[in-house]
Amino acid sequence: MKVSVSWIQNYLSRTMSPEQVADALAMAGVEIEQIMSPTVLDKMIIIGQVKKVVQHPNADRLRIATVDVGADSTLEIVCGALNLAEGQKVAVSQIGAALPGGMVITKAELRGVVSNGMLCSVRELGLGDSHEGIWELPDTAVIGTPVSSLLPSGASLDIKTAANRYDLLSMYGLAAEVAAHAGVPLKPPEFAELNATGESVPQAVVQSGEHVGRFMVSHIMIKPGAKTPDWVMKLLDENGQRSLGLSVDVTNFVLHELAQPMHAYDAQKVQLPIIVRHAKDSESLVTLDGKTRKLTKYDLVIADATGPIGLAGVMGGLSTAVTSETTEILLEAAAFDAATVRKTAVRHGLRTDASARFERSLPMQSPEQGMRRALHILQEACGAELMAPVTDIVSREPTVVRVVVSASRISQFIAIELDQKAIIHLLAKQSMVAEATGVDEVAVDVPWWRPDIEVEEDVAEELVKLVGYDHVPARLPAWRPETVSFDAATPQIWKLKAELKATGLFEVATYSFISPTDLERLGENPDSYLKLKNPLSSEQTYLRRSLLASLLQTVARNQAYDKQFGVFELSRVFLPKPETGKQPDEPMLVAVAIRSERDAYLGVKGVLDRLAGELGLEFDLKAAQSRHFHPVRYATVSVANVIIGSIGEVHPDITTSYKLDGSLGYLELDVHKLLANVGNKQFRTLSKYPAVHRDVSLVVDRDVSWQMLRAEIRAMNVGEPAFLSDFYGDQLGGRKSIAFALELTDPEKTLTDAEAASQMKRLTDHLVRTFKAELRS
Amino acid sequence: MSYDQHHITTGLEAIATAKDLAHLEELRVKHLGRNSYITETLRSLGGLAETERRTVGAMVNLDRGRLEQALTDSKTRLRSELLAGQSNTSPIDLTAPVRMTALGRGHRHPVSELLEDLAKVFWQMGYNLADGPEVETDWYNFEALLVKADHPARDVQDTFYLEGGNLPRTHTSGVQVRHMESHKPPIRIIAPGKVYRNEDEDSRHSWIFYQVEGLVVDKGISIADLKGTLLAMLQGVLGEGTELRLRPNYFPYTEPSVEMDASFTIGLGTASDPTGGTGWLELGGAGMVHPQVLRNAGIDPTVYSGFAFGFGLERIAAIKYGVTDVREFWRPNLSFLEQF
Repeated sequence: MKVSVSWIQNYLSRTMSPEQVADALAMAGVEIEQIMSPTVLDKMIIIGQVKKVVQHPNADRLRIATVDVGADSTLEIVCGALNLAEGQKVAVSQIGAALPGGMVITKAELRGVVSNGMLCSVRELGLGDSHEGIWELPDTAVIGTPVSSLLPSGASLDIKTAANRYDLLSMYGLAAEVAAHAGVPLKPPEFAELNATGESVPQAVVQSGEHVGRFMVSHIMIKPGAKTPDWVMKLLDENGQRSLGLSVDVTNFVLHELAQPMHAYDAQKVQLPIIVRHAKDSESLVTLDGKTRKLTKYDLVIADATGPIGLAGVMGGLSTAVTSETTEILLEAAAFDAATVRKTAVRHGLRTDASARFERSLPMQSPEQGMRRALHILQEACGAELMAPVTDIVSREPTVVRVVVSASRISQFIAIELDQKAIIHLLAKQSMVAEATGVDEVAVDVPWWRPDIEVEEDVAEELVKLVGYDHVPARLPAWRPETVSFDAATPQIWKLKAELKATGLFEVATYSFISPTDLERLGENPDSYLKLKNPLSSEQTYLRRSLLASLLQTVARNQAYDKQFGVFELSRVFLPKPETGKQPDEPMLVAVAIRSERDAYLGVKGVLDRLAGELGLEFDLKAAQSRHFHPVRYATVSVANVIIGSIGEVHPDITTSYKLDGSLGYLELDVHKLLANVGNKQFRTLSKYPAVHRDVSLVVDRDVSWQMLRAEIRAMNVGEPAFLSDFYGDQLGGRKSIAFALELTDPEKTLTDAEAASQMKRLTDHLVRTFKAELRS
Repeated sequence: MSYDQHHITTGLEAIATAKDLAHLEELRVKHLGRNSYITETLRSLGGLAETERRTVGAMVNLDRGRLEQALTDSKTRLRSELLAGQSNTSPIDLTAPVRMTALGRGHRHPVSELLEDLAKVFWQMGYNLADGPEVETDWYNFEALLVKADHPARDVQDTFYLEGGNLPRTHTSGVQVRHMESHKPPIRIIAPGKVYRNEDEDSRHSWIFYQVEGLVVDKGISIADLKGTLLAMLQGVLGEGTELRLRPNYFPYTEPSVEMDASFTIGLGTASDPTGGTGWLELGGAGMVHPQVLRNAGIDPTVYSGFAFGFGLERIAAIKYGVTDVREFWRPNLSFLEQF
């Protein structure tokens, strides 16, 4: 929100610089996004009026404007803006003018027509981002004078305020914070009394009382065409609000000054009484911006006998708008339900200054304050008079909050020693009346404009802000746990990542959501996936169940990097439960993808073997089938008879669908199942006596795997076999040879050759029998 | 050939046992091609009476579906056989050990590494790591943290919602409540994890990012404890000379609430100054746990108090490594990652 510093200054009894105001607001918890100095434009940029517009003879998109620039002179200027129209007041950069960007306007020929200057957009003048055509100036702009005269002369602040502080959406509320934190006395505005004689006839009926805390209407006689007081005009101007006539200016002013939105209806266009009710589904309303709004039964409206005349809390209707001829107005000030206004504003895509304030919930006292302030200004401007007693319908009684706090507890909590007296003194700066009760307690009467203060911690926050966080000491909390809860899993995950890095892989982070195209390429059923209701783009629609699609994408996108490389990622995936609305299972997976020109299975198997060694695990692989993988290069991975994942070479049709050349090996394991089995590495006693080395080579059927062979060798208790090689030559007649090495030892003595030979014979006989193997020499 | 159940049966069998893709294509033309009996029959439906047209039409379409499915299945089978056959010339024993030939130097992801560094800083201070689900319920993500149903943070534009209920969490703060429900004070945890925001991306925001949540609950915890802890963390991560500044702010689930800034002087005053000339970096939010949040998690706020904090990791990683666009962290680009 942009706010004018001079408007805030208006309520402060000492002059402060924009920086001082910003500092005080920051101490109050207002975020200062930017301090903006007033824009100064070159004096050669002046106000002109478009007298005539003709088509450019040689360009369809250009037109030639004849612009009155005062002093009986006109300029012919070529312009491409679509909104250019006769009668408009515009910003004219004359020849020689420098734009804020540094560009200097020169006489230019555009398609054969000389242009004597330029008509400027808001963006070209550095005043905003709008580039939709030229800047249309208000009718009140004086031809021939510099455009600078229309701009605020003071600094402004771009600020963000807390969502629970309606009062900070007002100049007076901001000034009150500045006053409290800078120690400057506050000058409150003046208010009128709402007393009128005459018969009290209710001018309004509230039918939807649960959505309207308070609704006030005043019937006021004004002087048609009366001028807005200069001081009001000036402050509105400084804040970037255009003057729209007395009644509207006053409602605008009160909205910005006190955060109380108000609305003025032309009383003669309204058939009393006003009815506050929910709209009917068939109704519609033309709002002040000229748009027709189709209403629903959820929209709260202000209506009369003819139908809706305003969208409650958002915008008034066009049919009852005040004009310069208006002699009587109905002035509305209300406290509408925050959620109702917010939903209506969102539904109609119409977030206004008014709705933004209602959305923060106004206290029940606020409408009355706004009404008294508006009447005061109207009286000053034109001697306005109440024509009847003010209608005031209260559905919710105003709350009065008293919070009792403990001085010792607060001192401990904010780590600053404050006694009862100090607390009372500090809170007085925030216009909070507090009194000591008992020896330690302070009773705080919360002002009605601070509904955010409800409990002791809220009072503590006010106090710590007033003292300043810089005065809070920094210390570490004491720690006396009864037991230590050790975390075994985390260091293992770090170890896992370190080992994967050590194998030469890149760790990557990829999006958790995947696209319909991914599901299609992988032949996945969308019903088995959690789906976003409101994705940012269709690329990210489904919550992934595996990291395969993400790593395929990653490798495919990086294939220019190298012919051979690999990536890994640890991430949770989402496995929906059959019952809708249940949270999914979220196993943490580790996935590795390695690209190579061919046989990429070997790459990921190498990684798996490294992990086995590092973690002290032995994996059991079982050939299996999956539509995502090569039919004979895919296996499930188990530890201790529990499947913990799978390994394989991605099906070539799938790598092709991702436009990935070459072969991709892929390994995916459930991290917690993997780590659950990590135990102590067990030391095998090393023999003191020399070992006998023996290599064995067997010819076996191709479906005899190393894992099967190893199991049999181990069962013979002759030591741990080491795989040497396998070979699939044609000369083996469709079989394969497999070679391994053994170290034979005896813990008690040196093995003799004869003993070794006998052990080897027993082993090879067993293997030949079990696997119909042939022994190769 | 005319439409006949016998043709369908023999057709299905022939397709299921087809020996190669060429044969399969012949079968497709024969049964489903432009001049096949199926297409002919479908084309002639127009001449039949309304009720007959429906019965025959339904039957023929059913058969067409069965044939199409059989063709797809058979194609997959033949493709697998082909691949298996090709692989026969250079078979692999899936279980044989492989000694890795090195791929070169490996690389940790900078955010993942930073997270590890940060976790170690907190370990040194006696914290445990806690965890919560990424798909969270409305209660834990919002209600229990006093983010009411009409709060602007609940707008669809900030939160992703899932069909059938629940949402990808928008912050890690839900872990606070879950942890307090299952653990008695004293509590000292950090909870790192991914969070999701339905917001347009730019160089400073990604719709997915890592957040680290911290929570301490014990008797007598004060704002001074929060301040000291945040200072220690910043010095652990950004260097011992780092200073902390707290600015008041508002979050529904902490009271008081503050914004934490760290002093930072690298590149101060240059075009790429991450502090915008102020010398202070905005890092995240913190505050004293709101008594109602403690109550929601079953902890008595008259006995215990606590503090909590949360910040995004990408932002710190970006500053630490001089990365100007946080989206780089989520776009796996090996030329980017090889620099770490």
